[in-house]
Parts: sequence; structure tokens; C-alpha cells
Amino acid sequence: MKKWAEVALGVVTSIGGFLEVGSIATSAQGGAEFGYQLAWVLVLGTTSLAILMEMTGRLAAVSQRSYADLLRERFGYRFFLLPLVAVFVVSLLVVISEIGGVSIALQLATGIDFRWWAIPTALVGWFLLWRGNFTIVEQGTAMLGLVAISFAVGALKLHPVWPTLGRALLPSLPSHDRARYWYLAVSILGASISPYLYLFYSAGALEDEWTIEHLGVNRVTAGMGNVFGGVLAIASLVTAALVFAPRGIKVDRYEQIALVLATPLGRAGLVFFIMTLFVTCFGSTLEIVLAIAYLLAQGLGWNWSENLKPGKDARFATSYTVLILLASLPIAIGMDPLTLTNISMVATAASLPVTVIPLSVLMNDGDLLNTHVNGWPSNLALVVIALLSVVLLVAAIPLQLLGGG
Amino acid sequence: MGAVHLSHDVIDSQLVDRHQEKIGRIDELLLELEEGKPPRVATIVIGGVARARRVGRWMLACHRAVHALLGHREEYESRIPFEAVRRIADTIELDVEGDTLPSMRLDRWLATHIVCRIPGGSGERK
Amino acid sequence: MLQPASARTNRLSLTFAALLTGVGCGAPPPIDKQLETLASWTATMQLAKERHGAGAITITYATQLRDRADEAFQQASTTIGQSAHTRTDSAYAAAALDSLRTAIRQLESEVGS
Repeated sequence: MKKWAEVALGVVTSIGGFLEVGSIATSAQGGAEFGYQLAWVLVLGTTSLAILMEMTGRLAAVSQRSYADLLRERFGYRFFLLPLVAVFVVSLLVVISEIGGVSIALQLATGIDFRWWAIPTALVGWFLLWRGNFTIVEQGTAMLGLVAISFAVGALKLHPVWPTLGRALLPSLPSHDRARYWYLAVSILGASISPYLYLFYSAGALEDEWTIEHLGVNRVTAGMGNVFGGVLAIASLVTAALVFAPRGIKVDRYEQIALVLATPLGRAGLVFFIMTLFVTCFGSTLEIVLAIAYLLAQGLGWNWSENLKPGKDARFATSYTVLILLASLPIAIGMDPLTLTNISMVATAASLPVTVIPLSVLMNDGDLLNTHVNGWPSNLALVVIALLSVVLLVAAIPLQLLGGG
Repeated sequence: MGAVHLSHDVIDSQLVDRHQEKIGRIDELLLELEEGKPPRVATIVIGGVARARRVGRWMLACHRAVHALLGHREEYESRIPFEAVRRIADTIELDVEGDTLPSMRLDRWLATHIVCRIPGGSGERK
Repeated sequence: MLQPASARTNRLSLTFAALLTGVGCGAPPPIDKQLETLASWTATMQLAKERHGAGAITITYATQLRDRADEAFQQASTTIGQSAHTRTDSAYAAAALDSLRTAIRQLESEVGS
């Protein structure tokens, strides 16, 4: 019985973590400019993420070390610096955008300019990390993140054309604005497949004391959680496709996006949008800041855990404190959140090889995983994802220049 | 017991002290070379200098510059005799007192001067 | 090809300066993109007006949308002149700016601000 409660919680966590400022912004832009067409990119991104999460979860449960631990142990300190720096820089950009998302949500609700909300958001977030344990952080934000279901409700009320949507789940080529299409495809992939997600998941498996007995829970959590999350992201794309595309509205400012729910769901829609933006971005802020702190602490061998009082893991606690406060500054000085989000999504996509390729090595290490090493289907999937990550790295800068509106 | 591979199983492994607390990773191993005796693995080194040196001379220079800027005179590096190793497994257990290690200095400083000054900082578990 | 060092340095500096000017001054977006942006904000204002009428959005929120549309209008007014190279372009530009201005006014009167 307890196992199934854990599974349910795990699924919920995945939903909560899936929709956040990156997915909301990129899906809205994608839907507004290309209708349903980019839905297949979300399918690709969700599937890839599910696979990567299941693997890093399995790695932690069987070897009792997180992916970050193993990046240091199995590849050495010199190599470790590569994913450390890449993930640090890219994740910092993303968390700055997430704080931007929370700030915009508070601005939408109160009318007070988003700049004023950045530092208070960081302080409240810090307080939750300082005083809360892992369970509270993980499950609290996940439960509240269920408001994101409002996107699914909104999409249904707009009466999507199911056959057309179905066809859009398969890859297609754009009929216009090719550079912009592929640029948005890359950003959507960056929003879906974020290294902080599977790094956090791996560390979380250790926080939750997973063992070999949790491998089934791991599969269901990674699989179903991401399916639900992916459905919500597609729903977000569909709402923009049905509300913005026919009217020729392009998303240039976050404020416009609230209309995708205010149209089908009226006043409740606006409220749900604000709540979804607030909760999902806030949860992601905590998750990303912890992910970076875990990476640093585990890679350097420091004591770490959200379940320990900060005095017992001072370097770890100081790290997330400094990170969250630092991340609030760009928004506090007024940098445009949507521009930051777009840049951070493409940067994320470009950074994938340094965390995907080492994983393919580890998942075949018999010393670490015994009988739980990858079978050939998993390896095939991983190779495809690794190739995809290299394509994204190569295409990122040209597309940002050619298609970054 | 089978062979223990230095590169694979020892270097970069997680170290824990006699209280099972994490105290860092093996950043470097020093061999002792004495006339007439076979070389042996003598010392475990934990510290930023050792890490920097592994990356390259330029990294070492940056590391030294930062420490000079902060006014540190000594290297905060722990050198632990290899004899202190009690167990080599997923982690390597050392018979030392983590709190006394020089490489833990930053952790101690942060804990006493900052973390424990903020409410909710002290104690064991949340 | 051998050139005296000074000539090479001059050429490099000129190229660099040209690049910087191009990038720094930020050539305005092409006319069709600007017209699209104006049309997009016009449609946003119209949707907002309709939504406010239906009680779906708050005055606070509508005001923020209006402010953003205003910013887009101001920015377009200054840059569209540089992108409109023909008489037709200028006519389209004037019409687009006019539509947006009207739409903003209509939202303002709907919201009563």
C-alpha cells in the first residue's frame, strides 16, 4: 500500500515539475505562431525526459549514488568540471527565468511591477529550503502544481480539432518561416529536457532512500509522471493555437499568455493561470537551486541533504542560499523575463550532450548496476537522445540568430 | 578480497569519517618514495589545491590568486595517512575526526559564523 | 598577400567598427515583422476588450495589457519609419499604427480608465 502511495506522489511530483515558465512560454509561442504543428516536439521532448529520468533514478536506487556523485567518481575531477560548469551556468539562467515567472504572476494579480517581486520571492523560497525538509519541498510544490490541470480543462473547452491534433503528434515540416519553426522546436526541447530535472530526480531518489525495491516505482513515476506532464504541456500549446493563432496574436510579453485561459474559462481562467504560473515557477525555482547545490556538494564530497539542519551541511546550505538570492537580481533590475526565458531554453538544449553522453557510459556499467544495466532497447533510445543532443548543440546558435524573434 | 584499483575505486571516491559523516572526496593520493624501499601509497589529500593541480597549472595559479585575495596564508588541505583507511567500498571509511580536518575549515566557518546565527540553522535533522 | 601592417590594422578596425555599428544600433526589424507585431497587439487589445466585457479579466490585468500595447506602439512609431521604404509600406505602417491606437483607446473606454 505504501508503495502505491509513493508511486502516486511520484507521479504528482512529475506533473508539478513539468509545466513551468519554460514550457508555458515556449508552448504559448509555438501554438500562437504554428498552431498545433509543434506538438510532436513536445512528444519527443517528454519521451526523452521520461527515459533520462528513469535511468538516473535507476542509477541512484541500485548504486546508492546519484548521477552527480558518479560524474565525479567515474569520470574524474577534470571531466566533472565540464558538466559542472555547463549545468551551473545554464540552470542559473533558467532559475532566473523562473523567478521572473513568479514575479510576473504576482504582477498580474496585484498590478505591482514584476521587478518588486523578485527579491521577496527569493527570500520566501530560501526560507522554505532552510526550514523545510525534502518531503515538504517535493510534495508541497507538486500538490499545489496540480492547478496546472486547468490548462487541460481550458484546452478541452476550446474544442480542439482532434484529427488535426492527432496528426500534429507526428513530425512535420513547416509551411512558412522555417528558421522560426526550428528555433521554437529547439526551445521547446530545451524546456522539456532540462538537465536539472534528471539531476534533481537522481538526488531525490537518494533523499527518499530508494533501493533496488523501488525500481518499479521509479519506472512508473518517470513514465506516467511525464506522460501527464507532457499532456499538460500539449494542452498549453493547444490553448495558444486556438486562442492566439486565429487572431494573429504573437506572444511578445508574458502578460498576453493569461488570455489563453481567460478566454475558455472566464474569470476563473485568469485566476487559474496566475496560480499555475506562480506555483509551477516557484516549485521549479526551489528544484533548480537544489539541483545545482546537489551537483556541487555531491561532486566535491560535501555533506548534503534537505533533511539535515543547515548547520550539519553548511556548504550545501550556503550554496543554495547564495544561488537563490543571486538569481533574483537580474529580474529585480528589470531584465525582460520572456527574453531571458527564450535564451535559457536554447542554452539548455545546447548543453545536453555533457550530461546525456556520460549517462550512456554509466548505464552500461555492470559494477554499478549489476543485472540492472541497460538492455539494447534502452541503449538504442539513449543513443538516439545523445544524437539529438548533439544536433541541438550544433543548431542552437545559428537558430538563435536566424529565428530568435 | 580482489584487487582494488586505485583509479577506479579510490581516487575521487567519497570519504566518510568515523561517524559516517561525509568529509570530502579523495582529491589526490601521494606515493612515498624511500631509498631501498618499494613505493607505497602513503597519503590521502583532500583540498582545493590538489584539485586545481589536477586540472592544470593555470587553474592552480587562479586558485592561489583567489586565496591570496582572501588573505589566506596556509593551504586548507587535509593530508591523511593511508593507514587511516578502515574500509573500501562504495565509500571509503577513514578513522579520523572530520571536524578537525583542515579541509573542513570552510564548512566549520560557515556553520559557526553564518548558518547557526540564522534561526533554524542548528540542530540535527529537520 | 602581403600588406603593410598599418593598412591591415586599418582594414580590421574599419570592419570591426562596421560590425559593431550594425549590431549596436540594432537595425530595425523588417517592415512585415513590424506590421505583424502591430496587428498582434491590435488583436490582443480587441480580445482584452471582449474578455473584459464578459467579466473574464480584471481592470488590473487589462491595464497591464494596455501598458504593454502602449510600449509596443511607442517602439513601433519610432522604428517603423526606418523600415518603410516605399509609399505602400508607409501607407500600411500608418494604417497599422492607427488600428493599434484605436484598439488601445477602445480598451481604455471599455475598462473605464
